[in-house]
Amino acid sequence: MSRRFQLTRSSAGLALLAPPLVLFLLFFVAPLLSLFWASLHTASDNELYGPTLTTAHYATIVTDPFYHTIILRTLGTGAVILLLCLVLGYATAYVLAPLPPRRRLLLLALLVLPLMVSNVVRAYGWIAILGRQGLVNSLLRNTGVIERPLVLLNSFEAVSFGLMTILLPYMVISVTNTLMAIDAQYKEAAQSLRASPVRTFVHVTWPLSSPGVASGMLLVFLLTLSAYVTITLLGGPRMKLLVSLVFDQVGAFRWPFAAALAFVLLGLALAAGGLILAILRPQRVQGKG
Amino acid sequence: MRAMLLLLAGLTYLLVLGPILIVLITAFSASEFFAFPPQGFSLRWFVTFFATDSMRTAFLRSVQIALVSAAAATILGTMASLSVERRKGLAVALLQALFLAPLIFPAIVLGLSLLLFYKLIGGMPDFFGLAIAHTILGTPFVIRSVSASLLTVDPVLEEASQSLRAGPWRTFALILMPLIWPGILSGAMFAFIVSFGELNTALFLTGPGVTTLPIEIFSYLQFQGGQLVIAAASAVQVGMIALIVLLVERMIGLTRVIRSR
Amino acid sequence: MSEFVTVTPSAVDVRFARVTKRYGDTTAVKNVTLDIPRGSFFSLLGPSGCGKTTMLRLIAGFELPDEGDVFIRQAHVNDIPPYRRDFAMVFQNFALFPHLTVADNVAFGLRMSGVARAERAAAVANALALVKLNGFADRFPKQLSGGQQQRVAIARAIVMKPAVLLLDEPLGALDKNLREAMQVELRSLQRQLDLTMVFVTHDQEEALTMSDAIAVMRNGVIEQLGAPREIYENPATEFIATFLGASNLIEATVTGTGTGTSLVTAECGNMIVNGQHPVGAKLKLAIRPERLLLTQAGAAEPGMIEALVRDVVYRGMTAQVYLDCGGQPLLAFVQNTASSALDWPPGSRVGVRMPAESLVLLRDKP
Repeated sequence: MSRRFQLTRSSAGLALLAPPLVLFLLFFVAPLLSLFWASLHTASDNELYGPTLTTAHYATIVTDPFYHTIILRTLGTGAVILLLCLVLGYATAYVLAPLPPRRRLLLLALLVLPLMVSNVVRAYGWIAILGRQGLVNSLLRNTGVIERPLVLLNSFEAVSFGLMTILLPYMVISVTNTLMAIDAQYKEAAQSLRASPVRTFVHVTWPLSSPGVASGMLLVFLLTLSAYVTITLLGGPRMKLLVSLVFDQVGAFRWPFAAALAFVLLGLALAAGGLILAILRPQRVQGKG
Repeated sequence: MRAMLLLLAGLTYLLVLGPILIVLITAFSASEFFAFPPQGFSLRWFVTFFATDSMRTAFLRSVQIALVSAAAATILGTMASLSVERRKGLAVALLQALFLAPLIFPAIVLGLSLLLFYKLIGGMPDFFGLAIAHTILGTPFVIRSVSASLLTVDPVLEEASQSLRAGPWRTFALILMPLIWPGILSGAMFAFIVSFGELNTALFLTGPGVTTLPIEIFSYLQFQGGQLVIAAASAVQVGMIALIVLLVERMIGLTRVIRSR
Repeated sequence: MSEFVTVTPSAVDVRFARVTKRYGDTTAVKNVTLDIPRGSFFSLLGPSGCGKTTMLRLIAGFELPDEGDVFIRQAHVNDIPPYRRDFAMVFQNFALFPHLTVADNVAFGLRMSGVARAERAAAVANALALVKLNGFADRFPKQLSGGQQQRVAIARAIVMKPAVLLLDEPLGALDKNLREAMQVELRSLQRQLDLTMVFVTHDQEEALTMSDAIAVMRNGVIEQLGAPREIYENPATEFIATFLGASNLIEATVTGTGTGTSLVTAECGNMIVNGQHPVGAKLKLAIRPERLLLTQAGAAEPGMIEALVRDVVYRGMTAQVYLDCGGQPLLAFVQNTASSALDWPPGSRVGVRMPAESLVLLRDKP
């Protein structure tokens, strides 16, 4: 269609672009840039940040062992959650993918709906289950197995476990979509070439599903980094991860340091993304997933 | 092997749905304290919920912000989708990356950056500050949904329309819009739901006067944990979302909604 | 610059004046000049990529020329958008609006033009009757068969009473029987409504049956323009001779002249062609298989040659006789009459007469 006469290609089309672009530039890009700019300044008591440029904040985070611990704990939590999500999520996807469309859709919907419910509600669910007066403890005490309630919350395990259940659906959906797109003929070809079911999976199904696995893992890791509410509720005051530190600094009005921590968080996300892509190499699979 | 997989899948569903179901059931409990299974059925906690000022206000505030930000996201997202429809090139790819970035961006960083930004520009009323944040978070969902819809419309229909004396604007209104409105609606729905349940930017951008329901629930859990009114609040949250999904499903069919996700 | 033979019109509905259209490195239409007379069924015929669809889209305004001018009924339309040009179009895959009923689809253009509701309803009913779809007004496109959708598309276009009706390979999506029926219907509609129809097709049989005039296109130029019979009987180039129907191609050298005729010698023998050509000139000739006359071998006359029968393919109504004549392969179509090709089994020798009026001189250099 000639350029001039099609709405979406004419100058009217560009006019449509303006408002959303302005919004994003003004309230997404600009704030990020100013946050980065703030992270490069000294702290100040009266202003948002001081006048001098410095990389001291980043230096502190990189050199201080306290932050090393926190970062390692954050990465560790992420790794555990990724592993659990991968095992459970892939298994579920493997079961769902071959199902007839209607049933599969219904089962997927059942997993999508919890995603729409706020994390705080889902965390509360785990508090109700694992808390001192929670389901597990009530059951164990009523049946006489234990005298005093177990402390199941406020631990690394509680956070990892709870967050894992919250993020599972993302992995399931991502991998299911990819598995659905794999032509059944590949499996059949492998089997016709003497590959056992296990080897078929290892050499055919797994590589072909790597795009879905990669995008699922990226999403899960990213959300793990941001899940302040879940971490706080299930981990308690002593189980602090990187995101908790950001909040603490904001609460103390130390903007530049908070900003630096936020960008370190972002850096971790990008690094993890790069690592996942490098290990899985989903770009090998062209046009699939 | 198969049994193992089924076991894991079953476990998945149990772990994902279990907590929510327990919360929902507890919300109808008649007792004072948490007990499972609940002794007695009652709506007392819902009454308490709506009677508690802070809770009720937070609920209304959530609805207001969700409506405003969903509307804004829908309008802006649709505009963005239309303007890059069928265009190609580096500029388009960059624009799409920009508009879809909030999907993969840590919301924490967005919230913090906006908090600082608002202070830098001299202040911003809490309501609008949060509404803007949610608009940005919701726009990518609208764009994905509307773009998917646009792809299903054969470009030749636009040519046919023009051959019948309809100019670009009438073609859009009479031919494109009717064919993509399910995409627009389902995008709007996701934007609403994202806003209604959103925590991470709200943590930064809410204050004493303006709280949303999830934040209110969070505060209660942190400082006053144990009261079953939290269960009721959570149930109201879930109920609201279920209502919206049902409404939209009535209008355009569930299959289309799930697919556009 | 393409040669053309203008069909002298009383009025011209569409005119191309030295129009060129490029897409990146390729030139789809090269410096084409063409007049399409009013009230004619005009076909643009050629293989895919020849530029015929581009020509159509240039009339519609979905493409704009890089050079040259396009006119619709004397109006210069280069700067006029499609929705303000006086045309209507039937698209290859119908392009019916899925969310509108048949009636609303047909009424759409009238509504856009501001026609009052009552008038619209009457016009729609009329158009649906013309395409024999009365009673389908309230159906939706997805409830219709391919043939029915086709008719709705036609109704939607003719109800506009346009100066020119464009049809982009409209019968391609239909099965054979339906296609032939629609060919007849389209032609009859065109006569009935006295519309100017510009029809794009790659099917030469279709073009021959339906058109008043055909423009055969190749590589962005019009190779030949004229009435179907003219083009079939006197193809201008080798391409046309083989694209429309089949042809035997013969290269020959002039060895003698007479009054208004020339004697030529080819690999297979001597023939007489019409027209006086200088001795020694090399010519490229074409003769249709059905024009070769097979007789008993032996009688030697000027214009008669001898050939060896290689194969005979029986096809019911006709027989295809594959001949070899001094290294030159020839194909003859023989009508299945009492004394038929069965008289000449493979391996026998046969006499072949090539009447001078059937030997066409091609433009191509040998």
